[in-house]
Amino acid sequence: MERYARHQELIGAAGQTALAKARVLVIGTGGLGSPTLFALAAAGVGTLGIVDDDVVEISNLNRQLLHSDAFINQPKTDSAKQTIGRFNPDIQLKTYSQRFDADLAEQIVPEYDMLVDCVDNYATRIAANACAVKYNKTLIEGGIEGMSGFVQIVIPGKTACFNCFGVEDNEIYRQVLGASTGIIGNLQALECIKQLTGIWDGSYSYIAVDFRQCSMERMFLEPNDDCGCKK
Amino acid sequence: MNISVSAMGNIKEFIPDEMQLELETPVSLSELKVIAGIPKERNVSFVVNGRVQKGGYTVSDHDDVKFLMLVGAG
Repeated sequence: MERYARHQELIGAAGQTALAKARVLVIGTGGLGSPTLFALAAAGVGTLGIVDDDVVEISNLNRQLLHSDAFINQPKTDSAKQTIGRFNPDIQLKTYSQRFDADLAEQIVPEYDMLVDCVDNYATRIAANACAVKYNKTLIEGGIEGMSGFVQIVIPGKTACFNCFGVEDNEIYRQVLGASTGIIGNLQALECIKQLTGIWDGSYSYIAVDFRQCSMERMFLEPNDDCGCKK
Repeated sequence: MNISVSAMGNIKEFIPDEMQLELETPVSLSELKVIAGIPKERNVSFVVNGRVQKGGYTVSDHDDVKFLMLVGAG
């Protein structure tokens, strides 16, 4: 347990046990998924599921710290498993080299406690949100574009879900700085750890980050009355 | 009809501080976005009195409307 000594006073032995027993599914191993997976593995989350259907490309390497030149054209899940496996060999890793959709969700989501959505498109965000609501799983959503990012804590029936916004599969502006994906991904991991260890105070569920102004704001989002997430 | 509007994140580029809008007729949130000075093509989401609403929601007197950024890359 010496590995976790520097955060044990913050979360206590019970918190560390909760992390060790936790099963977290991380969807996407790119700019957001890389720091998220490193941080969750570092904290000692016992089982990490890793979903990604992409292969590593050279243009990924400005921000996707899980991957490297040696893995170009290899499945990102292979790269992620090797990198995280070396980083913390005490945790269990399960990889799924396919697109996250309703069929895959039905097979794997029930076995996880929490989902962290680190994808780069609205269609998969909508699918992840739908299965979080369906299986009553807490979802930590995150996104980034240009010099802006957000993190949203979705607790079905309690906080607004991603569908509450009525988001459609909009065009995405894909310019991102690697350093800023690190901030949002780590923030997603932090909120996941706070949920798992019971130290989230419930006062907020949405965090907006403006990297240009170096500002962070938060608020609690009540669910949309017309959304199916509010049971 | 008096509406309070504010923004979070990079939408503050268009609404730096909370402001009051006086409207003569009820409008939808999508219409209010343009009235408040946010470009139509800019993706935003809407929160009214702390509750998430979609663009078709019609604002009422004394509503507190917040525009949130909507970003989707990763």
